[in-house]
Amino acid sequence: MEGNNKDCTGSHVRPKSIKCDDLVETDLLVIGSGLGGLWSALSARDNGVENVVVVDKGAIADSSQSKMCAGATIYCGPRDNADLWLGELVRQQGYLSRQDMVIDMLSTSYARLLRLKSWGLWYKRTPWGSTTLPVGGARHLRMNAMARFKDLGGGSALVAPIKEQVKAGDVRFYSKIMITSLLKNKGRIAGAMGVHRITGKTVGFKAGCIVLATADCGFRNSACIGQATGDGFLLAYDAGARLNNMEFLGSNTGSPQYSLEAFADLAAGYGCKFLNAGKETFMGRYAASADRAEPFRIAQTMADEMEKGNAPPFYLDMTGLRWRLFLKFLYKRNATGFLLRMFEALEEHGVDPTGRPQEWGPLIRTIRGGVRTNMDCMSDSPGLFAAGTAQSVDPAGLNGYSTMRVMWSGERAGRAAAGFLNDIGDTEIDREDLDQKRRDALLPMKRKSGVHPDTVIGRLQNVILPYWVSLRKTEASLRSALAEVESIRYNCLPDLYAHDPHQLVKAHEARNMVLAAEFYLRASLKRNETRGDHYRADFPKTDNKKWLKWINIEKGEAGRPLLSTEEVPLQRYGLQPELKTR
Amino acid sequence: MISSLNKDKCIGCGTCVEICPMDVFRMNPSSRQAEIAYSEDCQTCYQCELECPITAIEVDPLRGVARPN
Repeated sequence: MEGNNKDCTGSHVRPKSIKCDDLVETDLLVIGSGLGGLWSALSARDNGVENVVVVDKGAIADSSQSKMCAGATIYCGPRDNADLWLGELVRQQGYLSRQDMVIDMLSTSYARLLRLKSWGLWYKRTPWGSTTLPVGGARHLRMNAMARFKDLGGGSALVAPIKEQVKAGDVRFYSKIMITSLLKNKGRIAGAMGVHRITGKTVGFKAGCIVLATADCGFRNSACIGQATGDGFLLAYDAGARLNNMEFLGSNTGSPQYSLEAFADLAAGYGCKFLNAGKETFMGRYAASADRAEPFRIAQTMADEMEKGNAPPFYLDMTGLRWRLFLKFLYKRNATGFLLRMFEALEEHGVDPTGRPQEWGPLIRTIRGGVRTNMDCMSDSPGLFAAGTAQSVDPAGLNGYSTMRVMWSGERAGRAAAGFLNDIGDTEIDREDLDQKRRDALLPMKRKSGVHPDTVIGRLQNVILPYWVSLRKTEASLRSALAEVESIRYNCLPDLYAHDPHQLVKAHEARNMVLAAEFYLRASLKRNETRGDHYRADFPKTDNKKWLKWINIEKGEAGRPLLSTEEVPLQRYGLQPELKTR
Repeated sequence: MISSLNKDKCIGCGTCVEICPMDVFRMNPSSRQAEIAYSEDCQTCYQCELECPITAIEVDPLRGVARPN
């Protein structure tokens, strides 16, 4: 039953979205409201869960990465060759993917497309009459690129119809509440504690089970991912769940000067070139596909060029006629949201990015790993599920893959949560634990002084973002970075100070990012090879003899991270690489 | 980075306060209008500018974050 809802913000924020309850009771609590979270809630309702609550530290759906993404999605239809598509995905994921999960997501993707269409989603055709486009870096995979719903496009068009369905299913929404800790009782999940980022009030949740759909962790280096601060990673870790693939940190390229990013792979397809400080092309010296290499490979190559003293600065030459025609006649007529606005805003400020080569460089995105789960998306902690990019399925992804994956995991987690609730029944929360977690949530605001969250985040960025830690790693650079992160952890986190609820949430985010950084560095040190997003300059080859393994991280004695390796069960899976070191 | 919020235009609908992923805005209880409270947290995602029903918000395309170097 829901507690006594009251608007605790006065009249100055739309009251419909702001509720503060001392204790909210529900069967299922979904934390996060992007595509993974929303689809979890919907799937749980479809499967008979009566009480579902979705909580988000931003707005429901409207602050999510899902809404801001391009919305391109891979759907494997009846006439598509699922085996070829699986092979391309698994190879691109360095054979570290959960092949059982990828098979399931491909085989169920078309049903989700039909369902989305029944709610009003449609895909705009290209001028040559197709609703699908080839996926960059793949020969066979295709994606539906131009989603539309009412007057919306891109990720907004994907999120909006699902949100409508969830709302119609009497799911309760709580926005602007950051979950700071999970509650357990008798070995299973029992609820969560959160804090409202405008009022600073705490909100307890009693829940039979929880789906973490809190996205992944970036370090605030790119637009649209600043809200991804590894919240679910730490919640799961503290609850006794394992994480894996944490050594894989995604990257892309963009302008260091302007908010202009994440389209360079598209631009390269229309003749755009990356240049080093000497205004020379360089990608051809490193990769057969030259400027059309995958974004992470371009970012890693930029690190190599920096190591050789050939940069910075880098440039992206977008002056070619093919790109300018594409931009004018196709991109600007079909792109939406952030993707379109970043070009429009430049024009309004008198900047023509196609007029001369623009300064360019690598950008860090988010950690690819996350919560290790079973096929039903349940973690090692009974009653704790993970969906979206909070879950670990693979260490890499092509365009359109992530959107397919997060909808799959949401659907699967919601259904499994319904089964779990049927089997296990109600739970109780430990009141003492609840009160302690409430005090912990507010601790940074109880201090009269201390370390500001911005100080922690700034120091962390200075450690993680340099190319020798984020893109081109060595044992020495990682050890040095780890020592610095441990220093931040021991010397700054205990004294985090917040003078208002906004800073309080940021203090929790800073803590989560520090822990995620530590996991990233420890796992990066352990994997003595290069694979996909993980580039060790001191171990530059992919080692399939020793490293077809996952690195798992769990909470060990005294709360310290305990790392272990787990063989990828390739004998059980259908696809295996040739066992040689290349 | 967020550059301006036109108080002559703002109708106090609260959309920017609600949707900003980085929690940059607050409502001023006296004026019942939105204001930029935490500009340093802006990630230049343009969501506020795109969603504001009366185009009262302007975001400068200049970036304000660190990068690998």
